[in-house]
Amino acid sequence: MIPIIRPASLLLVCILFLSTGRTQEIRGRVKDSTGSAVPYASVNLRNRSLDVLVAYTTTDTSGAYVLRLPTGAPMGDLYLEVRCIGYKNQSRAITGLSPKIDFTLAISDNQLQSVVVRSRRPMLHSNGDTLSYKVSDFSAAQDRVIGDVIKKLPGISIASDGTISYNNRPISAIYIGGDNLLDDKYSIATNTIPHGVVENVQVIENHQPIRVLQNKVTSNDVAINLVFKKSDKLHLLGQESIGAGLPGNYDVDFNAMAFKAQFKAINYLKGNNTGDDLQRELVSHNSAVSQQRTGNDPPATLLSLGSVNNPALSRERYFFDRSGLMNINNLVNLKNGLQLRVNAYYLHDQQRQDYSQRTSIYLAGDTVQYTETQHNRFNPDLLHALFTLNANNDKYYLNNTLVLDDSRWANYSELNTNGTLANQVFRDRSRSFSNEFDWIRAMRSRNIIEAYSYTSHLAEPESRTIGTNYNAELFNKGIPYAQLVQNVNVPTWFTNNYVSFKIPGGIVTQSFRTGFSVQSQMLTSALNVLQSNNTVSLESDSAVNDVKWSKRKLYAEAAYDIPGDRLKANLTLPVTFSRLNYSDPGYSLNKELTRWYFNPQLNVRYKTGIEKFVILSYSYRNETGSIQDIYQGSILKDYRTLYSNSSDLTLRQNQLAAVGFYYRKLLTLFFFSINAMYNHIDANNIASSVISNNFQQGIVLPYPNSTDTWTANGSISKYSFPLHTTFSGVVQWQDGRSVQIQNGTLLPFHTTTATLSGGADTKLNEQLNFSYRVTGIQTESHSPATGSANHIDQLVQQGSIYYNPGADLQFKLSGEHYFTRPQGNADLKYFFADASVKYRVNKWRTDLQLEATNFLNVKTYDALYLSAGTFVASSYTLPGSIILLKVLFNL
Amino acid sequence: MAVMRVFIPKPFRVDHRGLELLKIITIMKRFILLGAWFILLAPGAEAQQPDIAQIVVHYKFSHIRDTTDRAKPYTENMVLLVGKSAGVYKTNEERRSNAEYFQFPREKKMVRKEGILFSRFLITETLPVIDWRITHDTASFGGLHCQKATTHFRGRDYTVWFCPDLPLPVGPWKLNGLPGVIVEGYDTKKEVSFTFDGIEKVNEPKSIKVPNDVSKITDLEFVKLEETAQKDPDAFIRMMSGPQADGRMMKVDMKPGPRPVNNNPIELPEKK
Repeated sequence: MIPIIRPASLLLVCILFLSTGRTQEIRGRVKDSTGSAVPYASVNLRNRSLDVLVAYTTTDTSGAYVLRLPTGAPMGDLYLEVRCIGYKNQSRAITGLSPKIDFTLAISDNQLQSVVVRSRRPMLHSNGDTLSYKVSDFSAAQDRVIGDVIKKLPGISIASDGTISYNNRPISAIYIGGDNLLDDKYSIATNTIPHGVVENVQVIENHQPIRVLQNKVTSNDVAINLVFKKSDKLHLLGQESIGAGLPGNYDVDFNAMAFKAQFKAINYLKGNNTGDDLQRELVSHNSAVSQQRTGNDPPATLLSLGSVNNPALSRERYFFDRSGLMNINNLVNLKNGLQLRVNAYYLHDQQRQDYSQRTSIYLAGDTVQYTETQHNRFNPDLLHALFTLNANNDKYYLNNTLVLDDSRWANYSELNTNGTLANQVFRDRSRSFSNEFDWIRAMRSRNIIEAYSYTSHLAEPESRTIGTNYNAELFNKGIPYAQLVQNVNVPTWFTNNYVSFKIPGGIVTQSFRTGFSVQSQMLTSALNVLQSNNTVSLESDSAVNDVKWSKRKLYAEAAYDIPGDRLKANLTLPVTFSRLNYSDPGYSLNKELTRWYFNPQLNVRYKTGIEKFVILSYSYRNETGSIQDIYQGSILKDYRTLYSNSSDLTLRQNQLAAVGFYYRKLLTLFFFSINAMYNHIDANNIASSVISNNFQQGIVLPYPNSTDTWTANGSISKYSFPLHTTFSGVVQWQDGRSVQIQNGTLLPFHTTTATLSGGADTKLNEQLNFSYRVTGIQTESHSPATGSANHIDQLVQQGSIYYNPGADLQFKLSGEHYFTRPQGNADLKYFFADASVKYRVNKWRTDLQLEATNFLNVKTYDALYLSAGTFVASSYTLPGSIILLKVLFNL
Repeated sequence: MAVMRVFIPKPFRVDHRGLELLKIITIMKRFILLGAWFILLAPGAEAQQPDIAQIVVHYKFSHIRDTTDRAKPYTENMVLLVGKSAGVYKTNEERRSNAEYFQFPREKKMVRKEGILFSRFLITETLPVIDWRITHDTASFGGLHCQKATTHFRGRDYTVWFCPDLPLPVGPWKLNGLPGVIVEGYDTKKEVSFTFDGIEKVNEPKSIKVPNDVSKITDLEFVKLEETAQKDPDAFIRMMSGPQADGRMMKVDMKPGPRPVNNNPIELPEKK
């Protein structure tokens, strides 16, 4: 209760100060230990939680002072502090109604010098929850885009998929000059905006983007805002680059950007065949969060060409592409406070992949092995459009987002599995639309009402053919045939609607919410055999599905928020009534499930000091399986997995508890965090597979079981002033226990993964820069029942040297070393080296860049994967060396 | 190794008789030291208790003097010596500019040491009272925790950063009055800036002391003298040297050179 009582007493103090309706004064006298007056001492009124000075005065010759409290002094814990050279600092709380506070100072040696440490920039600037990094303090000559600088900032890291974390917590969005141009597709910004136009990178903690809810509803979000230089806000910017090289390579990038107050735009056209995967720029980094907000859980793609793992290399090392992307992101702020936004892209790619794989599955007393080689081609055509209308002010919030998607994939595979040849063609077209409407209004009584509606539809017809006579014994009673055709479609309607009412109080905001959601789906599938005489027949009676599914939910929720300075907490108590119907007449399946669910959730964040806080969270979620867990007819998910369900719907109880401690010290640019998480899942049935030499047949069996996962991680980041270097380190340890059923036996599995990584980014001087990163991963998996165990150690090192002998010339040399030690196998070592030189032709205002990627010409990669009881050895073809000449210029 | 350098202010070109002139001026200075002129004597400040500098704050001073050529501001490395009760802001380059600003917050007094041509003057004024607005922005400068304050002062809107851990209300130039040393400051147009460039302890004792061998004048007198010196340097030097022993005025011949543009003084008239 202490955290609640304290804000209450502070509030009382503030009310007492404010209630008198005139300027309040604090008076007192400052003397030293001998009793003589201390004149000219600074008397400062400070705010403890913000750690700032609020008002000040000095003592007169008789040591007396009068401090006028500023009108509208901010709520918070105020205290008085006296500082005077030659005396020790002293601070006193302001208590009660007697604003007469005397001080007796102890004499001290000269404390003036003791605070001084000689150092210059960089420095960070903080205001409340906002932290600003000055880009020019961290940028170096070789940096091209703002992402290159962000990854060097102390306390901030960028993962290989582009996800940005601040002090080990993923950010919610990157705001462009205060405007939300990109939602969580922020890789568009980090990969495109030149760093030179950005003045500051701001990190905003507890970011509540909805202004009506600010200081009323807690948010644990961390957002980044880019503040642009005044001169670059005025005009359009464009950075263009054209590259051509050997063997037959190209890489082009044309962009046009605007960062004006009224108009923000990032529009570009990119294309390459050098392995730069443009789809990585389109990633939604917080899709899980938006899925939780809308409640929509769209069905995943069911079919594939076969389990395809990717090598554990940077994507550009193994990726064969021929891609083009047009990406348009425009935002207009109208005079009436409305904001209109359009985000659209079209991506076309032709991807290739050549690999061979050997899979070993360790069973009790037996080991099953597969071999396969695949030559795959993937041709995606992705079209996406999003339209947003937004109004966000102190009185109301209005947001409507319409999203349209049309994604087509045409994929081809030449397959050789255990000596059998088969050609596969997989066509997948997913079309969807969704509309999200949210309206929040503060009423005169300060209460807040909200209406929310979300509707979406998705259809994704999938069709995959496998060529002549593939496994004719199994699929066509041993008779030769022409083609095996698997079709699936799961059209889905979903809607979620609620109204809510929030009552902001002095300390707690109460929220009440009620609504309903409906998910209506069908699953139709058929596995057909095209016979040699061109007749089509079902593979078997059980190779067809016609499932109808509807899930209706009615829910009511009470939520409590404490949006305090020191304590922020949120407790959500939702009760859900759920009715689920599903039927498939072909299998006399007709079931109804009616349940009440209670899914409570608690988040607490408590500031233990000015720059440190702890987070506690707990959630309990009931999860029901989806339509993909109840279909009873077989679906050939890939060429060696025939899948069907034979038990009831999967019901899971998912509990997650986490505790974390976060610390920073801006003076020394030091960031530190440590987290522990426990996840326990109970389920009423279990996925199982029957494995034979050519085939894996999956079914779901009604064995209650549980999965436990412990995770601990820590991160540290420190800027060294004398070395001009940002050092960072991350350690993570995960321990998972689960059970699997294979060939009728229940097998416990235990997997432990430990990851340790560290890095250093040095700006030695204007001429010379280094960066170095090392990651070590240790994976261990064993099944106590069979006694089989597997152990893999991996070490990845990446290093770069940049040398800029003059303003016009830059050299870069970088290398990546991958080391793998699999148990019982020989060590694998791979080394990739890149080099580039950039020369600025001042007369043309153009940069010329010559790049040599993978100049040691490594052309194959062998990788080993270990998961519970399964060992996979794969071999991939790599692109080899590429020489590219680029011309870079600004418009 | 001591290197003696003769400093000649930029705005003026000394003709071929320059060296002779310098000699004359040296004599003239000695003359002044003897207290031989009384004309401009102003009521002087009482002797200061010399304060010992404890720390030095370094600034890069930058001033856009020519608004038609904003890319080339006037720049100079400056220091603020901070003692226990006083501060002095002056150049850190060899005799680049002449002005020194002594701030005595206890006495609410500021003493400017200004130079015109080869003469030095002391001007004592009350310390400007600046109405600061303190914000909640904080930042670290050289490992010091600082806070932001803003004000309007002498025609410009200033943003400054002060350090409450150095509890003396002094700062660069005439900026003062915050509960901590001002370590950085700039006007919102970034035409005048005192950019933080490091802070260090003083190891050898350096006293913060108004020189007592310099003529004391009022600000009004100083402005008049400056005008005279600009319009007619000859007359100014003659005036400074006073009548010679034989009753004749000293003969000097100085020509004003092309003056660097300053269309944008630090102190601007307040707009009504």
